[in-house]
Amino acid sequence: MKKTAIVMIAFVLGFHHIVMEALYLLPVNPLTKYYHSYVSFYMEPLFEQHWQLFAPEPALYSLKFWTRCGKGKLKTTEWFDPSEKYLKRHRAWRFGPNGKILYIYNGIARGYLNATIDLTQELCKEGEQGSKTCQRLVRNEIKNNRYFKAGKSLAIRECQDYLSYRDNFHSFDWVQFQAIKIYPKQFSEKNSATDFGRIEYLDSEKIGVAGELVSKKY
Amino acid sequence: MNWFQKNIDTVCEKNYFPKTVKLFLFCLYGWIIAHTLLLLPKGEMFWGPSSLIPGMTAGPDFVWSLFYLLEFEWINRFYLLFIFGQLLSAGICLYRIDWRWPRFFVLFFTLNLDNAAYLILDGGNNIIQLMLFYALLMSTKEEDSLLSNALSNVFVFVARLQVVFVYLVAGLAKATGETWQEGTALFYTLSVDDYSIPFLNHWIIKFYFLTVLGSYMTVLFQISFPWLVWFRQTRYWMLLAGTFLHLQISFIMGLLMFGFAMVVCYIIFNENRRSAKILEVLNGSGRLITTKA
Repeated sequence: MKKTAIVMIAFVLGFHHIVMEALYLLPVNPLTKYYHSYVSFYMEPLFEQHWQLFAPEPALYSLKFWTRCGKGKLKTTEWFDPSEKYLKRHRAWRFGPNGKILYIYNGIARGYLNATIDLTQELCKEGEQGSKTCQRLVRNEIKNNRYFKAGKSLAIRECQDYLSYRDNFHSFDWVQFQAIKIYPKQFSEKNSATDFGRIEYLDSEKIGVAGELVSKKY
Repeated sequence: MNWFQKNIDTVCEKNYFPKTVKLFLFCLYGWIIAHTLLLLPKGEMFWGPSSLIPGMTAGPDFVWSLFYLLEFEWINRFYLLFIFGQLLSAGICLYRIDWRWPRFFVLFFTLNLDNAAYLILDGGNNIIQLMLFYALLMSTKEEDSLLSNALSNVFVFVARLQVVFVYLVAGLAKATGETWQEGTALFYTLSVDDYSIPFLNHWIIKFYFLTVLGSYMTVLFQISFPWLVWFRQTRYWMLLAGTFLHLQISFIMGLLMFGFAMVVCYIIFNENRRSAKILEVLNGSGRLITTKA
């Protein structure tokens, strides 16, 4: 009797978990609305399974965080990729933190991009989403977004580092960043001379910062 | 009823996978230590107060705030304690693989560290988190209490099923994916800056048929793994193919710890006597395992 009870406990725990997981992983179907709330309550957050675990679609583009800074209208740096050094190090030696550092730049760019898309859909009517009014609304709202704030902090930090090696640029009072998608060449164009396919980007506004001074590294 | 009683006895009177569990736990906690040590040189960027990973928009529900402690500024300053706690408890797990209480601490610290640095997580972190939980219920003892035997036997099966689910979902999704069906998926992935090595780009274009073959082989592997892994005749071929695939993901695509995480998960499919032989070899060398159990 005792053995039966024990095995039933173990079996119920295991079976319940397997069934919850199977329901959690099932695509949306007509029955989802009946079980979704309990299944989500059970599975999240301890047993959450992110889509990246399954990687159903291959990576089709590189997502980068680029930045630039300037002082007034007269001095502006070119757009630069602050994560490039980490990519080089990661390619040279896989056994290090550089691969994960790239995720931070990538993640902030992705968060900013997704937040902009969500706000555009929320604030603007369909058909008006490309208009200047819509863009202005979105730019005002995005300033409160955590990825925008992270992007600003990252841009300031990277500009300070970037300018510390320049001898004719001592301070900056604005930064700007962009999420940039770089698509590889299409398969049908694999033998062409170009290095990559198309590029899509989303700029932030120029963000005023309080006259950041840069200390020289040489 | 005899059949039923016989199966009840089967499940709880003996632990069928003590050596497999031991080997699996050794590799699992070894992965945890390796992963954290890999990130430690730049730990401040991931977990520290000056980390640029944005915090949560709203605080966690009270119930789950135990796993989001590093969201609180006054606790975040002591993030190194969490790292130390994780490494220490994982080390204790390696030294005394039969002890269960350190496993709770590994799970606790790992969840806190992972939730603080959520931007850097990938599929490897996800599956390891799930395995850390299942590990709480696994036993390394050949004979333990009835409940412990039953739970360990059941949750070894659950852990195996977890890996099977991963491949089932991934395989089915890939089989319906346009680039996978066209055979160009690997070509595109290996052409993306972040997942390639420059010197390979030339070879990918010259020998593009290999990427087509690789794409189809990947889908074939993932849709057949959930079925073939259960049969002794095909299990080790599937695990070997998977190991090759994931090591390629680790070194060529650069998702180092993800590849290793999947290989660690394969150990749970080992038969007990095979795991015992591997442990004998490792113990015999006297270099790798000093665990007591």
